[in-house]
This record gives sequence, C-alpha cells and structure tokens, in this order.
Amino acid sequence: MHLTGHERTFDPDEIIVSKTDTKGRITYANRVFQRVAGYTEAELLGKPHSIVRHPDMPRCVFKYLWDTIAAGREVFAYVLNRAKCGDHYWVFAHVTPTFDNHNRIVSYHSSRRVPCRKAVNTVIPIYQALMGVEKRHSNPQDQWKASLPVLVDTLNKAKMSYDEFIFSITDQYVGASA
Amino acid sequence: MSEYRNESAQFNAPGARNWIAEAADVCKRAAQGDLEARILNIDDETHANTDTPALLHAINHLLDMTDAFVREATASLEFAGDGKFFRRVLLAGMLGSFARAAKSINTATSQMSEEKKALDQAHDQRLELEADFNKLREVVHALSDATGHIDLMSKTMAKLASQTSLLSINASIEAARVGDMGRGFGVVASEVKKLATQAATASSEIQGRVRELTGAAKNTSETIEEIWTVIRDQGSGQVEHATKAA
Repeated sequence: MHLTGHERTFDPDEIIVSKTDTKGRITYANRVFQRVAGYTEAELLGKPHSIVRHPDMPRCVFKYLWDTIAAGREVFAYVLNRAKCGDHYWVFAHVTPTFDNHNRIVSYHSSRRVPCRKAVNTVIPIYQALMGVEKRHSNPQDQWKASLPVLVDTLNKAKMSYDEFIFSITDQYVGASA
Repeated sequence: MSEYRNESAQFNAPGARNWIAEAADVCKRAAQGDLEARILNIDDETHANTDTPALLHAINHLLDMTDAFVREATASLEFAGDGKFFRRVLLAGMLGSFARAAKSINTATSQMSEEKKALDQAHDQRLELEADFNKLREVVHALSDATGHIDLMSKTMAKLASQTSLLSINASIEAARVGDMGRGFGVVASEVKKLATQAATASSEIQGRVRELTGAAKNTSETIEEIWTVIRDQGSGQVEHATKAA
C-alpha cells in the first residue's frame, strides 16, 4: 500500500460526514470527506468504508467500533485514515447507528472532526503497542483476537471504560477554535 | 429564481434529473425529521454556470450540521439521563445557534454532575451516621443488659442478707443457751445481725435504683429504636430515589 508520510488536515469548523448501510458500504460522503480523502463521490458511493483504512490502524479498534454500533450504541475513536494519494490524516470519529421507527438499525452515520494533537499523541503509543501484537499474526481475525485483550488490559490499568478514556483525553472543543 | 426554473425545465427532459424537485423532496423529508435524506451525485460540471450545485451542496451541508447536532445532543442527554456526565456535546463544527444550544446542554450537564456529587456526599454522610448510630444502639443495649445483671446480683445480696439475719438469730439463741460462756458469742451474733440488716437496706436501695435505671434504659432503648427506624426508612427512601433517577 502506497504511503507518502505526508499528513493532511482540515478546518476545525469542518466535519467529515459519511453514512453507510448496515454492511459498511458508503451511501453518503460529504464534500469535506471527498476533499480530504481525495476521492470523488462516485468513487466512494457503494464502496466499503475501509477504503480509507490506514495500515497503521489496529484492527481491534475497528472490531470494537463495529461491535459497539451494531449493539445500537454510539462510539468514539481516534482514527488514522489514508487518503487516495497515500497521504494520511487523523480524525476524531463519532459513529452512531440510525434507527427506524421500530428501533431497528437501518444505517450508520459518522461525523469526523479534527482531533487535538495532545489526544493523538496519547493514542499513538497505544496503537503502536496494539500493532506490535497484531503483526505477529497474518490473518485479520487472529490479529484483533490477539490485540483486543491488550486494549482491554490497557483500559483496566487506567481504571476507565473505553468511553471514559476517550473523554478523558478529549476536550469538548476538540480542535475547535472556540 | 428564473434561472432555477429554466434549469428545471431544461433538465426535465426524459432521463434527466429534476434537481429542484429532488431538493424539495429532501427538504420535505428533513422537515418531517428524516435527517438521513441527502442529495447524491450532484452534477457540478453540467451546471457549473448556474447556482444549482451550490444550492444542492448547501442543502446537504445544512443537513449535515443539523444531523450532527441532533446526534450529539441526543447522545449527551441520554448519557446524563443514565447518570453519566462525562459525555459532553462536542463543540467542534458547531456554529451560531448550534454552538449556543450545545453549550447550554454542556452547562446543564456540569450542573447535574455537581448535584449528583453533592447527593452522593450526603448519602455517604448518612451511611456514616447510620453506622455511628448503630454503635450507640449496641452501647444502650449493653447498658440495659448490665442493669439486668445488677438487679439479679442485688436480689442475691438481699437473699444472703436475710439468710445471714436468720443465722444471727439462731446464733443468739445458741449463745443464750450456753449462758455466760456464750455472752461474747452473743455480742458477735448481734453485730452480725446489724450488718445483715444494713446489707438488706443497701440491697433494697440498690434494687430501687436499678428499677429507675431499668425504666430509663427501656425509655432510651425505645427512643433509639424509633430514631433508628426513621434513619433506616430515610436510607431506603434515598436508595429508591437514586435507583429511580438512574
């Protein structure tokens, strides 16, 4: 996978928005998403959201993310994404399920904001440790199965739930200028 | 305005998309609370010389912002309703009225969090009071038990005094029977009788005091139990309230 090592960013007042069906295929990508990821709308629609997956992102984070939203709960995550040209960009992702009138999950929605550098710097060594564990396996399922307990252990040591941990490193303004 | 009409007419040809009608439909759905609606595949190039693409993108953008605010506000309030106050509305990307509303929610969440802390503290203090009061109950019960023991002992003492008195009478009789030789022994017997009488008086006084004490202990015990019931009811009421709130 081609990587340039060049980091992209976007305006703190902007939100990258995407919607997917329940299988994770993109059904909507706003213009901020198209610009930052470097894809056209046509290139994104119908594609799996993993189109922007960066190889340095631990699989267990996505496993936790998908399990949480599939259970009907919101989830936050600091995510490193890969643009089409190989550049990378960090986002603070908020993913929520959308329900119909019968309380069934019909789609997923993701709002991604510019994260503050401090939070990213907190997350990087944790992700590196998780990647270290995942690199010992070749099969994606074996990878998250090996690294997920490490993530759980890290949180237990901090005596925090995942949500509490995320909010402990996140300012409510995130990257906002306010 | 005429530009949009022209455009709409121009692209009403079979197979072409009617952008204005699509936009109207998306706005209608959004007004009905369907914030999933968006206009997809906006053709920027064909209509580059018109305002139509800008209008369509602006509608999407408005929906994105509204959607983000609604999701944020809902999540934060759901968490707060669950007694978890760390989930604040993210202010990034929120402008103007969205930002003001988001800040109001966050201020309210902070206040709720403070109130919850104060409530928790009051609950802890109440638990402490309950524990201390329970210790007091035990002391009062022990005191009551001790008075019971003293009462028993004083009764034994009274019995001993009466037997000693009887014994001294017998001793006096025996002393009289042996005449002069028993005189000295008779004096001792009469002294023993005096002592037995004093012991009887003392034990009767003790029994009187013990009766007073037992009455007071009973009253204290009853009052303590009444207060204890109030404290315990308060405790279960608080737990019930907290459970309902959670």
